[in-house]
Amino acid sequence: MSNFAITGNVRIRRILIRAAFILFMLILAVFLFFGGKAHTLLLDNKTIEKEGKIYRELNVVEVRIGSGKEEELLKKDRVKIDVSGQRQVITVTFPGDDGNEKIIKKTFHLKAGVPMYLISIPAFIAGADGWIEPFEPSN
Amino acid sequence: MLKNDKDNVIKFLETNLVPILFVIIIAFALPLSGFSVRYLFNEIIVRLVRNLFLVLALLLPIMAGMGLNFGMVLGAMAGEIGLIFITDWNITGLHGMFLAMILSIPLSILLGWMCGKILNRAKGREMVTSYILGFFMNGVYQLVVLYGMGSVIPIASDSIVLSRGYGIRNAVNLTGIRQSLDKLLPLKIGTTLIPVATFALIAVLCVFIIWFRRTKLGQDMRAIGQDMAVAEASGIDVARTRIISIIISTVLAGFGMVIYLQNIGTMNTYNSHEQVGMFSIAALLVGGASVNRAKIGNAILGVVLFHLMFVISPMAGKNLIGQAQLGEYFRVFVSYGVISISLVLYAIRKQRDKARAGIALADAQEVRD
Amino acid sequence: MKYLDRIVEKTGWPRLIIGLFLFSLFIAAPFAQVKIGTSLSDTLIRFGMNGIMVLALVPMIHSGCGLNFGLPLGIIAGLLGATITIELGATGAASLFIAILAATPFALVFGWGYGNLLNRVKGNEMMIATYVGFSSVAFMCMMWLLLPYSSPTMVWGYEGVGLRTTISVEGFYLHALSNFLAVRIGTFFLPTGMLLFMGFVCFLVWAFLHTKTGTAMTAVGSNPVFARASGVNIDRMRTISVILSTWLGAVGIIVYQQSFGFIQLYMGPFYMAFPAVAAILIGGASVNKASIMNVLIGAFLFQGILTMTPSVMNSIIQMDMSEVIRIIVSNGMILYALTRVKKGAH
Repeated sequence: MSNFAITGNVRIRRILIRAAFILFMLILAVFLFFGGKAHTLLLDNKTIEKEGKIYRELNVVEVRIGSGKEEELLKKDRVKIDVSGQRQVITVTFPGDDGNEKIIKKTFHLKAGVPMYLISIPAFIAGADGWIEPFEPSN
Repeated sequence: MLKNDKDNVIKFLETNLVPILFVIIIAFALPLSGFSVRYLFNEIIVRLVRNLFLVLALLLPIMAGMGLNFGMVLGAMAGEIGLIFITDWNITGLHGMFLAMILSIPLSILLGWMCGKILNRAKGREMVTSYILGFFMNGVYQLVVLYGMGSVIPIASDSIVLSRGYGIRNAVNLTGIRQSLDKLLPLKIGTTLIPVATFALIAVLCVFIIWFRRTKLGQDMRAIGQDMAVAEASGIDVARTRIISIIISTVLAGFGMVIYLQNIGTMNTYNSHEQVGMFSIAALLVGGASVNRAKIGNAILGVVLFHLMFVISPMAGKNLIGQAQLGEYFRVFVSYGVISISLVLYAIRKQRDKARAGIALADAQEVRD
Repeated sequence: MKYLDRIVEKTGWPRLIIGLFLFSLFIAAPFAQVKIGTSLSDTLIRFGMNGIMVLALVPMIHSGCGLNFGLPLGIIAGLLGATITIELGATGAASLFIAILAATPFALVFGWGYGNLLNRVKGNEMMIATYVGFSSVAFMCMMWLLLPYSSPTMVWGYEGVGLRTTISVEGFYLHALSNFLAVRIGTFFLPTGMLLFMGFVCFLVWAFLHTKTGTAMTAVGSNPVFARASGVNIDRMRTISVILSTWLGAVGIIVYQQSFGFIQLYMGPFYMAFPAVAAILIGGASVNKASIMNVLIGAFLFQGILTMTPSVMNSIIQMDMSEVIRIIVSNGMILYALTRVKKGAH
């Protein structure tokens, strides 16, 4: 069995390589878990009241999440979008007060434990803090 | 010279009997089925994408002389369990597919190690043992998935758990990862969509197999495949090397199953893996492989021929005698028949070689006298 | 402790666990409000139904051909005999014997061919037997569609061609044996005739194994070198054992049908070898050793588990895990036997 005698050095190196491999797999798994986690976003264009302030609905607004399809929301519309990953970019295009088109782009993060979020477009445009909130679908 | 040629022809026919038989069957049934070339080409691409990786997973144990690894269903089960989890956690797209693969690895290693250990106790009857092991583990799989999941193992998603509160449903919808790999790099040729990314992954596996053959471990496996006793005598740890070959095969089968199911898009929780072993083995044998010799080319040719037969035989049966059912039974018969013929040919050849070696030995001894 | 160790070593862990499991099932049965009478008679009925198919494995194990996973071939001979009998219009209890007679030539021919094949693949019998069984079932699937049967009780009504998947034997040989001298006490039913018939066939096999041919066959299995040296034709003995196995398979399925009530065609016989193999192994047989006693004990234990598990389990934990337990127990037993083969014993 002398052929199999493994010197201490080789053994340590082997353990290190294996540990590194397992660690790499774990990190990759975590990355894949958060990166691929699916969320449902509800885009909402309704008048809402938040902390005493009123955010008025828009007549028409275009919303795009990441590089997805551009959604056109009319008054009181609510659209459901499925996305995956935690880091998302929202692009909202709407007619400004001066009649010119305005574009707001913002990056936001989703929590892995929350399957569904409600995004209020009027609040988003006004720059309010609570424009995105976890949403519990009522059964 | 002439005699030599004749011998060569006979040898060629003998080693390629099964593929030749298949080409004849297909040549006969193809015009009967009435399918267009375009449709068949499309089907072949789909079948290659689905099955080639699984078939390639069989190569290493053959190299190590352990025969056809019917235990590959263990890997398939590991892959399915990975898919159940990512569906429950709602991980979509390529991320989900690769996560399912990673989740299958520890399970595959564990199952493969167990399989290897058991097969080491059943040397010379690896195939029948791994076959029964597949059945046995199918029972364990059912125990875990049908009774353990949702009760002992937490499963949150209502959509995959049976209404009684535990156990996974018969069909799990994989819409989240459906064809995520196939659609990554699509290449359109005519009306056929060629999923370049999947083929690239299969190519990576082929390169791995070729590379692996040249490593020390690969050489050891080939030595064991040639002659276990000689390998043992030359200092190779036979038991360990055999276990490693089964572990690698099981892990690859797990990956193959994930690729197979991402193409199909739905998983039959309790049936998907049962057929996979038989079809993969039949396909490999149809490609001209035998119990102790298999190349990548055999796998590719085998998947093409076998699945071509699979696609055309119901229609051919229908057009020939008006019963599609007959064609369906025919393809089942052919799948089992092919495996039978290959096993018989291999056993006969082995016995003849043994007899020949005996005669040679006797001759040599006579000369010495 | 040493004594206990020896018992464990001799019976083997799986067998011990299965025995304890069955024992606990019987203990638990009264608490689970399972009627012992019905359970016992169900066990006996299934014991009689499956017994001969388990017995069919004995000759091949004796001659060293291993576990006969190719049992479906014999079953097919039985199915041919059964369907031909109905096609010919034989009715009543006598049709059972006509069916056995009709199955015999098929069993002889199939067994002869199968035996010759197995002689050419010594050492790989079990895997090839499995696939011979599968291939023949698949081949017969086509034949059931194509063969020119015409009896209206058997062919599909609307098409007029091809046999049905299940054919009732009512009016032919339903319970021909089971009802013979049957005893009924309340819910308890004893299929005396079937058990007697099974005992009779077991006796025949036992007697055969003690004839000159029978002992030569056993010698081939246990010590081929010695057998050859003493002038026994090994291949011939093996072929005889395979023919006998196949024929017993044919008889076994016919006895099964008379109790079960239906002939199951197409994929019906596909997996039938595995429960039989599991049963004989549970009874104490190994890949190269089996006795009639192993058959009787094994068939009773295995069928006992199959009958008791669903009812007891259902009322205790409200889960019907019997199917899973059946798969694990039967295949676990086969797996154990396969890994327990002594070196050099083929």
